[in-house]
Amino acid sequence: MEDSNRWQQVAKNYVWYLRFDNTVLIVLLGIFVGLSWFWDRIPNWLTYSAAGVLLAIWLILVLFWAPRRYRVTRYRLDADRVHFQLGAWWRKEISVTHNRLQHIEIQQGPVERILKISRVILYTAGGTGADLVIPGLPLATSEAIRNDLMQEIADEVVSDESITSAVRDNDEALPSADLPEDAQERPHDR
Amino acid sequence: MTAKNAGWSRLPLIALLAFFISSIRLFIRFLYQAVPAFLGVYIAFRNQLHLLPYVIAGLVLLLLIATFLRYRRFLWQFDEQRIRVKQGVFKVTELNLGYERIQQADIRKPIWLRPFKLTVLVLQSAGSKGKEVELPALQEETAVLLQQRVLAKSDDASSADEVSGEANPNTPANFEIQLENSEVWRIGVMQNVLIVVGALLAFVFANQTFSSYVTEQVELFVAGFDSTYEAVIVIVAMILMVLAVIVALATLYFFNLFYGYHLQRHGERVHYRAGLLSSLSRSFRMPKLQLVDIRQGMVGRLLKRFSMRILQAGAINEKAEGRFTVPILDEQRFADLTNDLNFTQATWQRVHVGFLFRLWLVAGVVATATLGWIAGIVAVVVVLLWRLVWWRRFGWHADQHWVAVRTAWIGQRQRWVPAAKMQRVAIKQAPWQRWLGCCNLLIDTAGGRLTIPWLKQEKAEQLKQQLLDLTATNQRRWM
Repeated sequence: MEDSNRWQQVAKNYVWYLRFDNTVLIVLLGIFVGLSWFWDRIPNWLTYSAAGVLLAIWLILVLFWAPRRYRVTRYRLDADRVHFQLGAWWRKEISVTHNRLQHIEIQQGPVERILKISRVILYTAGGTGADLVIPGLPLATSEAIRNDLMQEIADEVVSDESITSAVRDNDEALPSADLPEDAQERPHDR
Repeated sequence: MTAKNAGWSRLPLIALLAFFISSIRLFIRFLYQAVPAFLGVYIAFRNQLHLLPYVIAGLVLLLLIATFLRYRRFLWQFDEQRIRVKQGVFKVTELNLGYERIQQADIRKPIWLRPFKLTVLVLQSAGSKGKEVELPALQEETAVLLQQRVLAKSDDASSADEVSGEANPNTPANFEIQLENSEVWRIGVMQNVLIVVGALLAFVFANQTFSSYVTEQVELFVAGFDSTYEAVIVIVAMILMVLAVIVALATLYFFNLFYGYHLQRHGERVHYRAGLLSSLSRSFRMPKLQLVDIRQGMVGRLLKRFSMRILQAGAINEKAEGRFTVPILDEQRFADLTNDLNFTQATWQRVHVGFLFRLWLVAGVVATATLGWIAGIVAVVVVLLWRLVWWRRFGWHADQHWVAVRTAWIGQRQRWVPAAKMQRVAIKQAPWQRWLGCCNLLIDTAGGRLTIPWLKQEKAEQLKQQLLDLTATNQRRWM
């Protein structure tokens, strides 16, 4: 991974968003545990230990998982592409080039509004639904990213020729055919 | 009312027949699903059986009225840019479809429309739900005109000329494949019988009442024999006979479907026509190609035959019957067609041996837990052998034009995508893959996803970079 200093972190408040998410999940599970307390068939010690386990999971998620998750959630905006990285154990890195973007969305739920963060969603024609989601961005950043990308798309020059075509001469084919095999460092990445 | 309906036209009256047939189809499917409910109703009202004819008459009347309303409410129009369809009895939906968005155009001539010299036009768009417009009972000239427009649009004037040139059937094709009957007969044999059997079983067991009836009958049948041994022999013989019948039926079905198969390419336009009782003419433009899916089943390997499907954007949501298909290709034709598609020579590369162990121990654990440890060991060995073949025959290939993945066991499947048409690329890595320095590369295209598992990390990063560079610097149209 080249030049990791150009990877950008999402907003600090994203940690609180993750914590909120975890808490909602635990509370929902907690409701089931609470209901079991009223049910005679289930011994009380089981209910108590389940509650204890839930509490422990909640503490781990809120104290350790959320900050860690926040640290490993990063994005990078290059001249002609967007990257997003996620995960400490199960890692994921998603990339999309600007000329494949179909549309761009900014979403902000109620909790995100309170935390003053939002998410940018990039759609392409591949896959189903959201192809690249950058969560935890201040609204101004989201809007800036969206506006830049929209501008980029509007300025895009599309040639009349198609990538797959039966009528063109195969040899003059793709303009990028002379790319070096291992193009690790590209000039436009700078 | 008239002002509102300006420009909108109805289908010819004979389209009622088309709507009627589709209503009946929906109705039968509904009836089959609802058999248990009907049983309940029957038990509750069995003293009122004399009313049954009235109920049936009522249902038929309802069906007729629904059909008529569907027909009356179906309005359509087209101009230079787009086709518009308004339909729906209670909820009216209006669909606007620009020709540019259309991925594939079918002209079907179902047997029941033949006497009227009418056709059904089906246009598939790139919508994520695989939206399509179906215009039943069009005059053939209108359908052909629309098909021409769809294929002429989306590009500049030069290709429009091409299309008009190709409206003249005498223009020689740039490429063609014509299947003789002996080949068409083979198509059914090449199909995987087990898939048909699976579909049949799924159908039988979808209905609780029916499935328990079947199970009961089988048990009774087995009990009727002197020994289990005898029963097993008879049942195996019967299963073989059923399989033979299925193969025979499949052969007939595909012979009817692909009779007289003729594929032609005129410039960018690729087109095929086939069918005995009902015929189909299907076409798309080369620039719309997103993924090429090549298959060879067990029998296909013995016969040295391939089949190919060409997918456009959104075609992944389409049923297999809706895709552009070349049902059978011998080695020569396969070479010719892949050459015409500008395929490059594949140098298949293997992935890390870690791929071998995916799902390996799972089978062993499950077998041990359910059947005991001997079964567990057998499962572990069998699955390992299977995975070994799978891993050895798995291959990926990437160059400046194409990315391809081959998965194979007895037969094989290859999926090729134009490298620069990639939409999104992702790398995923599980903890154990990181310890071995590997990761999975996922390439999403508008025609589906290619996954290259267990690549060496440097290799994956490099390939990803290469694909992104290719795509980002490519200003040509991808659709």
